[in-house]
Amino acid sequence: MLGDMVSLLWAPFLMCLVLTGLHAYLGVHVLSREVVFVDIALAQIAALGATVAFLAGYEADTVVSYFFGLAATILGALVLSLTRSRRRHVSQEAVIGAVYAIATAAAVLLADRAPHGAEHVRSMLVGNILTVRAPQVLEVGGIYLGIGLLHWVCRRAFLLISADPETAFAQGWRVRLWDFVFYASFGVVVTTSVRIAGVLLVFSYLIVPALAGSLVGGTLATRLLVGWGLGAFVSVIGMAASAGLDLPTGATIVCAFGVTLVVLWAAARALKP
Amino acid sequence: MRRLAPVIVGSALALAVSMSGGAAEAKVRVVTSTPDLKSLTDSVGGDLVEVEALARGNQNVHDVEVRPSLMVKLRRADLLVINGLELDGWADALVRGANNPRLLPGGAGRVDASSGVPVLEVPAGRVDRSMGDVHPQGNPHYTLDPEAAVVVTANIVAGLTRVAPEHRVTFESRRQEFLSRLAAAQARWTKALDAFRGTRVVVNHNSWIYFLSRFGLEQAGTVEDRPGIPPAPGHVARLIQQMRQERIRVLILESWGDRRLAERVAGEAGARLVVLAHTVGAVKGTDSYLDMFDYNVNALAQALR
Repeated sequence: MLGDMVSLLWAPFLMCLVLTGLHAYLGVHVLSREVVFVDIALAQIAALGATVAFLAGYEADTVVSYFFGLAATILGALVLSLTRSRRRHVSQEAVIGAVYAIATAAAVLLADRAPHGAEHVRSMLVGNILTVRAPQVLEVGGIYLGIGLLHWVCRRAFLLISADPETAFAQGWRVRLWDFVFYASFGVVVTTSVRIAGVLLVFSYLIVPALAGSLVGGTLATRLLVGWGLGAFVSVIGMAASAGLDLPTGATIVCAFGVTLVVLWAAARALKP
Repeated sequence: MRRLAPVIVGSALALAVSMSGGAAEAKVRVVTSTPDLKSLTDSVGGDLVEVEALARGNQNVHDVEVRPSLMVKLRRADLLVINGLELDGWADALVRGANNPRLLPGGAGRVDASSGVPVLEVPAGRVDRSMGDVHPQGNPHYTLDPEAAVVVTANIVAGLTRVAPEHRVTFESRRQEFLSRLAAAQARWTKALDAFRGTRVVVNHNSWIYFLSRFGLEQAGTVEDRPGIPPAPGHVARLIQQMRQERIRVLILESWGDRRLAERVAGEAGARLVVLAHTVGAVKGTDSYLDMFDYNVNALAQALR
């Protein structure tokens, strides 16, 4: 029984660490851009793309369906980058909300025409971390490594635009183009991770470690280290609690994030007079 | 932090094991996708089998939240019994996750309970996506026909015999015993619904056709036009009008369906809403396959009276 549990859980656990690696970093961007729900909107757009593929006769979980989802996500990235206004007449969050609602409703209308269509939309958004296996960890790790490298190469532009878009505009950076690259790469990440872990878990990995980092403060490196440490710690705790108490794994990890965040916040309050 | 991980996970796992205890070794370990198949497997396997269902009775099968213990059971299972006809395609993702190739299509530990069952509503001719919701292989809710249990239990016994040939005779004699109880019960159910032969009823989700056909009732329409998607207003309006014209008195709702919409339709059409168990355990007091039919037959007869 113990052996079974270990061989069942090690691949999901490694996947959690892989998720932590890239999401904690992307979360820093997402927080400073104030676009926390962008992952959910992009995942929904990917689901819409896969629904279109399904209507055209391509089954879910095939390469063609994946590329339909990807193409839709990149279209979504285009919308998000084009709607950024320099003087912030419109909050980006409002655009994200509208994109989410419309993509969801459009998927419902499309699914209405397809056999089991509604189920296919759902299967794009409901991942199950327990079903992860070793080859998937390598595959996803590879994709994330590629995206991570892209972000390392373009770090000056991405970090400046996230932290201080006004200066970026003033210095003559092509902000909308960089935004497009940012959202497109972000879309690739969430499309992949949502299918594996589900919306809730991905959202938590994205936001909570970065939030903890900004609670502690300091340089980007410090915040990243705090985020990665917290993400890895919560993955261990959540996985262990799920195994020990026999609870659904994804939901347990999300709640472990919640508890840890409360403890961290209380500690931060106690330390700072 | 990362170096500490194996220690913490390890100790939690040790806790998990001490809590779950050692399972009896000699039993055939079976996992089924639905509670109906669990109940039928229990009926033919008795104390020789240990059966677990992936979906619980009161839950939509698409919302199955898997706990680690269930994955371990799948990993160790000798036999997987699935409903087939595309009802439980989701189960294979779990089987692959549990890394138990014996249970995958073509494996020795896999039983498709639908094989040999006379399937209703198989679309004639070419099936095309533009036709809307069509199950290419036919309506998958055949376990709601008690007669189907004859074939289903034969399939289960064949599977059990493959993994535990030494118990072949016991499995078969238990099956016969169960089938004679089923036949006696079915005579009772047929009698209870006999007065209502030919009566037309409306259902919420198209999962009752086997049940209705078995007992001589007719399905006049469905509230949902496509599963999982709220019906268009025109469809609902036409249905209500049809129910009034034909004086349809009963609307059947499966326990996880949209109760508010069904209530509204039944109310406007002057019909009674009756909630039936679409699977074992879906409604209180339906803990076995036979109990489920007892409940459904009584509830329906009462509503039709």
